[in-house]
Amino acid sequence: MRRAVAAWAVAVVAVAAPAPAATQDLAEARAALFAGRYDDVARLARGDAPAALELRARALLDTGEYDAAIRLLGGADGPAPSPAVERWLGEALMARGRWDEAEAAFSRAEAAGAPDALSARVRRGELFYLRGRRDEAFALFDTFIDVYNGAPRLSADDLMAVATAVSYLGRRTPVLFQDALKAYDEAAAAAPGDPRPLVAVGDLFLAKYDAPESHASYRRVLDANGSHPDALLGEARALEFDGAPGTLTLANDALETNPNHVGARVFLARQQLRTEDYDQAREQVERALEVNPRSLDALAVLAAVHYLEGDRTAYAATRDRALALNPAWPDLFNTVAELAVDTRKYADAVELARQAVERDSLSWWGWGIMGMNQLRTGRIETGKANLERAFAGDPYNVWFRNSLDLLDSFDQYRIVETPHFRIMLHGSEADILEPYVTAVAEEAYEALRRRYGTEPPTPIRLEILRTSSDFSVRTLGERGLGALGVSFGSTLVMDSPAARDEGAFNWQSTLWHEMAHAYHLAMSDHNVPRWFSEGLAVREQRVARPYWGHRVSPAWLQAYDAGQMPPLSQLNDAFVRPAFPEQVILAYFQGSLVFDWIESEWGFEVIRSFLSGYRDGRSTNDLARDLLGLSTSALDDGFDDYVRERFAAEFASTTSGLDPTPLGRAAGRTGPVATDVESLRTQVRQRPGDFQARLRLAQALVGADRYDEAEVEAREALRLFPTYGGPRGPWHVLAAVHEARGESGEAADALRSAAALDESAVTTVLREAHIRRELGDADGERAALARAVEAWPFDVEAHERLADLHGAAGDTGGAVRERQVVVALEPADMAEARYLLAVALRNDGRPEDARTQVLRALEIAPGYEAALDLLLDLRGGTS
Amino acid sequence: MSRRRRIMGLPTAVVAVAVGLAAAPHDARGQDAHLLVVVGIGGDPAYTERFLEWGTTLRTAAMERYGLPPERAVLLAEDPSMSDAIAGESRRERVEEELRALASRAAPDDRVMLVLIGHGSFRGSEANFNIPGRDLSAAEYGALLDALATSKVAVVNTASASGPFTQLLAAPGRTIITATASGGERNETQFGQYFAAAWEDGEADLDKNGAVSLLEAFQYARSETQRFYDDANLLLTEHALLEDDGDGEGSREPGMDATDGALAAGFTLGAPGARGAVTADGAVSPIPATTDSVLARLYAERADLEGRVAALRRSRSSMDPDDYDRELEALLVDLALKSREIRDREGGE
Repeated sequence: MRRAVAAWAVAVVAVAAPAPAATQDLAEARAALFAGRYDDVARLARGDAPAALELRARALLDTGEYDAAIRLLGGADGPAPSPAVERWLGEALMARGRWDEAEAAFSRAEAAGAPDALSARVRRGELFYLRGRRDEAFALFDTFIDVYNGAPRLSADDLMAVATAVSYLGRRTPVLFQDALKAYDEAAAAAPGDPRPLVAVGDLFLAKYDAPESHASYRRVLDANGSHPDALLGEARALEFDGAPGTLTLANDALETNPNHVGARVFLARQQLRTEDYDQAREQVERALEVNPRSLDALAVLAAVHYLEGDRTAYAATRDRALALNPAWPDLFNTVAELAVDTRKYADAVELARQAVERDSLSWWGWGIMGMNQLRTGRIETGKANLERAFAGDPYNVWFRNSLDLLDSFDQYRIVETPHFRIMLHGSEADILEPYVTAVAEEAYEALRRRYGTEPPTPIRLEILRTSSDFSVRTLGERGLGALGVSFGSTLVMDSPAARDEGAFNWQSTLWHEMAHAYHLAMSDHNVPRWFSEGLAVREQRVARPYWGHRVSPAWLQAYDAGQMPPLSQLNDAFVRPAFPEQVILAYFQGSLVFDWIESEWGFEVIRSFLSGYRDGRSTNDLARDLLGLSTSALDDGFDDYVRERFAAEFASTTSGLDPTPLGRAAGRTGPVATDVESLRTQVRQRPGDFQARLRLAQALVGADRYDEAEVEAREALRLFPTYGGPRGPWHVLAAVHEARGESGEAADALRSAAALDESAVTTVLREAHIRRELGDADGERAALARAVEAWPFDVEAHERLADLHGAAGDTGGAVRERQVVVALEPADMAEARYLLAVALRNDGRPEDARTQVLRALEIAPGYEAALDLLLDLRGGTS
Repeated sequence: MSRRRRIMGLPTAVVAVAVGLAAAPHDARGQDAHLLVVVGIGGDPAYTERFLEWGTTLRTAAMERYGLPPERAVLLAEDPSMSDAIAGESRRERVEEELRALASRAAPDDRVMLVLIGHGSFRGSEANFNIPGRDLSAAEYGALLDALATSKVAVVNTASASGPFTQLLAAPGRTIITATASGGERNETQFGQYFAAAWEDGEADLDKNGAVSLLEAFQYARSETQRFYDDANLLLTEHALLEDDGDGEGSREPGMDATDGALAAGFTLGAPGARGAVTADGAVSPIPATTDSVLARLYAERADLEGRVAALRRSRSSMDPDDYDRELEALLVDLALKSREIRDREGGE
C-alpha cells in the first residue's frame, strides 16, 4: 500500500511539475548552456533532478538572474533540494554578496559528500580569503596538493578546484602557477565544451601577463558562445592589456548577457575613471554594489572615485566599509593607487601602495606600484629595491622586469648637476648634450619661475634616455609609448635627440614643455586636468621661442570645422578618450589656443588662479565662471568665436579644399587629387580660395621649372594660409623659386620664414646657412646653424662652422661650447679637434683648460706644429 | 650636413685627371707606389655609379695629391664607357693581366695597394669579390699577389662579406683591410666611401706628420662609417678589420702599439706635406735628408724627442695620470722648442 501511495505521490508530482528531462535532453541542455542558448536550457533541463537543476542554475548565473537561481535551489537559507546543487546555491549567494549563507551552502555540500564537494571546499577557502582570514584560507588550499597527488582520477570540477587552490598558493610560491595551469588544462580536457576551465586558463594567463595565450583561451569560449559574459570580460581585459581598442564594447556585450555582472561593471567603472568620467564611474559601481554589496572590487573603485574627486570623507567611509569586510585586503589601496597614477598623483600612489603592503606583505602588486612610483618621483634606489621585491614575488610581470632591466642600464648614464637640476645623460652623448641641456633647463626654470611666480620642488631630476623604448619603459613599464617626454612633477623623462631621426622633433622644445608641466603639477598639487596642462605647456613653448610648439594645420582646421574636436569645456575628452587616434595631437594645439585666448583677454594672472583653483579641488567650469565670468556655454562660444576669427583665412582656405586630409575624408569630404600642372590649374580656377590646391599647383610648377608662375601661386597660397608650417609649404616653394633664379638673399629669407613655422626644420636651416655662407652673411649663417644644432646636435660640420662663426663674432664662450661638442662627437681627426678646442679655450681666457687640451692633441700627434706653438704660447713662449 | 662629415656630398665628376709623372714635393721615392682599383659589378645603376665614384675619388687623390702617374694608378670598372679614367673592364682576365703586369713592373721595394670596391659574397668557405663575368676568389687573388716581387702589399677589400679575405690573404709584409669582420656581414657597406675619401686631403692625417698612412686611412674610414650608422640610427652591420702581422687575425682597433697596425702605419702612397722623407719601406722618416749639419743634428734631436713621447705614451697605463701629464708636457715643450729652432734654421737655409 505504501508503495501505491508513493507511486501516486510521484504521479502527482509528475503531473504538477514539468516532466523530467531525458538523458538526451540533458545533454542537449548542456550543449545549449555551453553555446549560450540560455532559453533552451530551461526548456530542455526540466524537472528537479540535480543535473537539471544545476544546468538551469548555471544558465541563471550566466545571465545574472541570481535571485532566481537562489529560489530555484531552495532559497538562501537552504538546504538545496540536493547536496549536489548546494555548491550552485552557494555560487548564487556569493554573487549577491551573501557570504554567510553561501558558506553554509558550501559546508553542506562538503558535509554531504556531494560530487563537487571539492569545488565547495575551495570556494570556502576563497571566502576565507575574501574575509582576510588568509592563514585559514591557505591552510585549506594547502590540502588540495594532497588531493591532486593522492587521487587516481579526478572529475573536471575537482581539477578546477585543485587549480583554483593552487593558483592561490602561487601567490606565495610563483612556480605553482604552472601546476594550476596544468590542472585547468586537465579540467578542460575532462569537460569538453565547458567554458569555465577555459575562462579560468585565460584569467590565469592574463594574471601572468601573457595576453596572446589569454586571448586564445577566451576566444575558444567565444567561438562556441559569443555572448559568454566571463569570456567577453576576459577578452576586454586582455585587450586593455594590449592597449587595443574595443574593450568597452566587449564589457558592454558582457552586460547584455548578464546585466548584473559585477566584474563587467567594475571594469567599465575603472575605464571611466581612467578617462576622468567620475559620474559615469560612480553610477556603474553603484549598480555593481546593488547586485553585490560586498564586492570588494566595486568598493575599491568607489573608494577611488571619491579619492580622485577629492572627497576624502566619502573615501574614508568607503575604505572603512571595505576594510570591515576584509581588514587585510591590500587591493583596495592598490586599486586607488593605480587609478591615482592615471591622474598623475604619483606621491599619493606611493603612500597608498605602502598601506597595501602593510596589510599584506605578499601584495606584489603593491610593492610594484610603490616601486614604480618611487622611481617616478625620483627615489631611484628605494624604488628599485621595492621593484626587485615585487619581481621576486611576481616573476612573470613584464613591467617590473622591463623597468628593472632599464634600471640596470642606468650605470651607463652620467649625472650632471646644475643649480636646480640633476640631469641624467647617457655616457655616449653626455658631452654632446651637456652644454645645451644645462643651459636650456636653467633658462626654462628661470623663465617659468618668473612667469608663474613660484618654483617646483628642486632639484628637478631630468632623465634624457638614449632610446625611445627606454623612455617608454621608464614611463609605462612597457615599450610602445609614442610620446617624446613625460613629467612626473619634479621628475622629467624624455627622449634623447638621438632616439629619433634627424628633424623628427626638437628636444629642447620638448624639455621646455615638460618643465612647464612641472610648474603646473606643483601649483595645482597634481590636480590640474590634462587638457589644461598640455595646452598651457604648448603655449609656454611658443612663448619661449616663437617657432616652437604645435602650429595650426589643415588637419586641425578641418577636424574643428567638421565638429570632430570637442568644445573647450570637453577638451579633456580628446586626451583621455580620443574619438580617433589623431585627436590627441590636434587637442594639444587646440588646448594651446585656449591659453592664447585667455592670456590675451584676461592676462596671465588668471591662468595662475586656475592652477590654484585646481589645487583647491575646484572644477574648470566653476573656475571659468568665477575667474572669467563665463558660463560653460559662454566659455565654449567665446573660444569658438576666438578661433574662427583668428583663423578666418585659414578656415576659409582649407575647409573647402580639393585634397582633404584623412580626417577631412573621415568627415565625408572627398575630391580628386590631381598631380599634373594643367589639372591643378583647372582646380585652382574652380576654387581660387583653396590653399591646398594653390600649394599643389605651386609645387608642381616648380617641378616643371616654371618658376614665375610658381611664385604667383606660392604667394597666393601664403596669403590664403600665412601660418602653414607643414612640409613643402609656400615658403619652401618660394625658396626653390629664388634659388633657381639665383636670388640667393631672397631664397635664404624664404627658408628662414619656413623655419619660423617649424621647430624641427633642420634641413631647412642648414640650407639657409649654406646660402648665407655663400652670401657672406656671417650673422645670418650663425643664426641658422644655431637653429640646426639646437634640434640636432650631432652634426660635426655644423658645430665646427658655428665655432668659427662664434669666434669671429667675439663670442668666445660660444666657440668653446661648439668646439667641446666637436670633441665629444669624436671625429676621426681628434688631434685637430682638441687643438681647436684649446685655441677656443685660450681665446676665452681659460689657459689651463687650453693647456690640457693641447696636451691631449699632441699626445695623438706630437709633430703637430700649430699645437706645439700653442703649447709654448700658453706657457708664455718658453719652457 | 649630418652627424657624419658629408665628404661625398657633391657628386664627384667621373673624369680622369691627367697629371704628370712628377713625384710629390717631399717624396723622393713616391714613384715606388702602385695603385690598382678594381670596381666590381654594381647590379643596379645607383650602385654602379656610387662604386665608380669612390674608385675615381681614390685614383684622383693618388695622382693629384700623391703624384702617382696615371699608369701606376689604374682603375678597372664594370663599364669603361662611363669614364675616361677607367683603364678597362673589371673582368677577371683584365684584373689578372694588371696584377701580372704589376708583378713584372713593381720592384722589390715598391709598394702596391690593391683596392676592391663593390659587392662581395661568401658561400661555404669561398669568399668572392663580385666582378663582371666569373669572380676571382680570395685564393686566386692570393696566388696573383704571391707573384709580386715586393712583399709591401696592401689589399683593401671594401665589399660586403669581405671578412674572410683577412685570413685567406694574410702574409708577412702584407696588410689586409676588409670592410667586414666576416663573410656573414652581407649588407651593403659604407667603408669604401670613407676609405677613398681618406686620401683626398689632410683630414685623415691624424698624427699631423703630413702624410696619410694606411693605418690612418683605416682609422678614419672606420670612424666615419660608425658615424654614418649613428646618424641613420642604424645598427652597425659592417665591422672593418686590419691585419698586418701575418697571423690572419684582423684587428678592429689596430694601432702602433697594438697587435696589428705597425706595418700599416708605415705604408703610404707618398708624403705630400710631410716634413720628412719617405723611407725605402714606405714610412715617413722623422729625419729629413739635409746637407746642413746643424739641421741634421736638430732633426735627430727632434726625432729622439718624438721617440721619447711615443715611449711615454706606451707606458701611460702604468703611470700616475698627473706624473704622466707632467712628463708629457715637459717632453712636448722641448719638442716645441726644438721645432721652432728647426723652423728658424730652415728659414735661414
